[in-house]
Amino acid sequence: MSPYKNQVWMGFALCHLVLVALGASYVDLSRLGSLGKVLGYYSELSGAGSGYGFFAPGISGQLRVRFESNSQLGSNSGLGFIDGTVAERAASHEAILRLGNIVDQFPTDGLGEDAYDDPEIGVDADNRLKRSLASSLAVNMLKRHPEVKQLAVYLEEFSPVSMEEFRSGLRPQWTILYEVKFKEP
Amino acid sequence: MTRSVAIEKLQNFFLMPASPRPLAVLRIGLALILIVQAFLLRNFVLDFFSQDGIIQGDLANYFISPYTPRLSWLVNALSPFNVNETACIYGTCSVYGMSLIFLGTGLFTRTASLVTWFLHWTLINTSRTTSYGVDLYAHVFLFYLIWIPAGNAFSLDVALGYRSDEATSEARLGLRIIQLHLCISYFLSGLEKARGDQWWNGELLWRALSLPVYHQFDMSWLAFWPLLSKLGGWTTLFFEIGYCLFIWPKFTRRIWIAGIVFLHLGIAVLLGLDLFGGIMCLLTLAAFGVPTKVSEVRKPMLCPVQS
Repeated sequence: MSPYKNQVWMGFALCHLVLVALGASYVDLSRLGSLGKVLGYYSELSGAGSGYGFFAPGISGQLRVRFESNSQLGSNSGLGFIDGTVAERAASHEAILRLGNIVDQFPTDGLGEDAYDDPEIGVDADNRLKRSLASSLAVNMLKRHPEVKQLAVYLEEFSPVSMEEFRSGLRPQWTILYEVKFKEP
Repeated sequence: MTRSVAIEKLQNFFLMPASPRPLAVLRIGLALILIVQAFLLRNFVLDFFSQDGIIQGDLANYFISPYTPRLSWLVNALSPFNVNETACIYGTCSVYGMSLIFLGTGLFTRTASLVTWFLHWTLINTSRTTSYGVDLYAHVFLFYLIWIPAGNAFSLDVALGYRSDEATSEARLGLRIIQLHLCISYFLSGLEKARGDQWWNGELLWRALSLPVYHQFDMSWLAFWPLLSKLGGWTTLFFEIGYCLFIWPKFTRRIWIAGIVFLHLGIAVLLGLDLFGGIMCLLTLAAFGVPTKVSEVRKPMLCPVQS
């Protein structure tokens, strides 16, 4: 490599690392206008804009989707989306993790307030997204089980208890955050 | 220190010729992990990537950043030629699998890196709702493989005489970017964790192990040993925040490599995040655990090419 080329590549590398640091600090580049858009796209394609806050600053809980049908599957049988029929083909924990990530896309109430300036619009948008996600999952389940004519979708949250609460006998539970019913037309 | 001395030190840091072997280890390890991932997810191809998969049509597009490549573009482009969506998906996945094999074996490495990076990006965009940390790190480091001379060692390109495995400035620069990227990511990740009380009072480890999605073993006994859980949180913060400082000096490097590998093996075993743990171990081992000086490299595995 010629000395001139060296300098150019070194400069490019340093600029890239600045974008890595900005991305990892969750700096919003779109505030820089057109330049910000270009840098944002570059950050997306190179991965320089990625955040690394895994399990940070803490863990609140876990979401899951549970299905109930009125078919021969039993009116009260929980068709666990993660540990039920879809996971029958899951050869690995890898697939189950990814299915769990889909459920994490459901907005919870707190996310709605953060995500939108206007709380009214935010709540509406959250409800539309919840409904769309629930119907997408329901359509998928109905395709897999043509015998099912009616399906209830429950979004549930698992709230872990603290170590102290566990020692005093309290146990974590799943609580329903959202429910919606679907039936074949 | 005068300005010229500082510039010279900076240039030495970034450009002093280095062996391409660390980059080759990264290339081979990354390709192997992605091949294993593809194998594990082989039964879910249509569920994750099809327009009528688990997340369907417009809803899937809602989660994708604008102007980023996705499989629906290919499907739309080929539909006039009577190529259906299933054929497009399986065709793309097959090319992706082939490119990973080329990447791992180091045959036409640059082209293989470019194709692998682009198809991996397209696939994670298409199934954005299912992607997580392992995809993020794979995307970042596949992008680096396009630019760095990762095919200059342990590769068919070298064996066939297309490339030489001699030490170069490009290898040093590539390695430095990867090393600094890891330092930035660990440091900022550690700082963000340190903001949360759960990392200090031991609750984080306890809660993570309690979540059904990560449940591998019955760890309820940990509630009666809170100090152990606290130590786990503190050790993680110590190694992540200290990474950018202590990974550089020779006398602390081995401790940090061992600590980081132990941390990620723990994540892999206790939380079932096998591929994530694997890729994180690989990154630190490749970036800081493989000799870079030519004299440190004992025996060449392949004969150097006569130019």
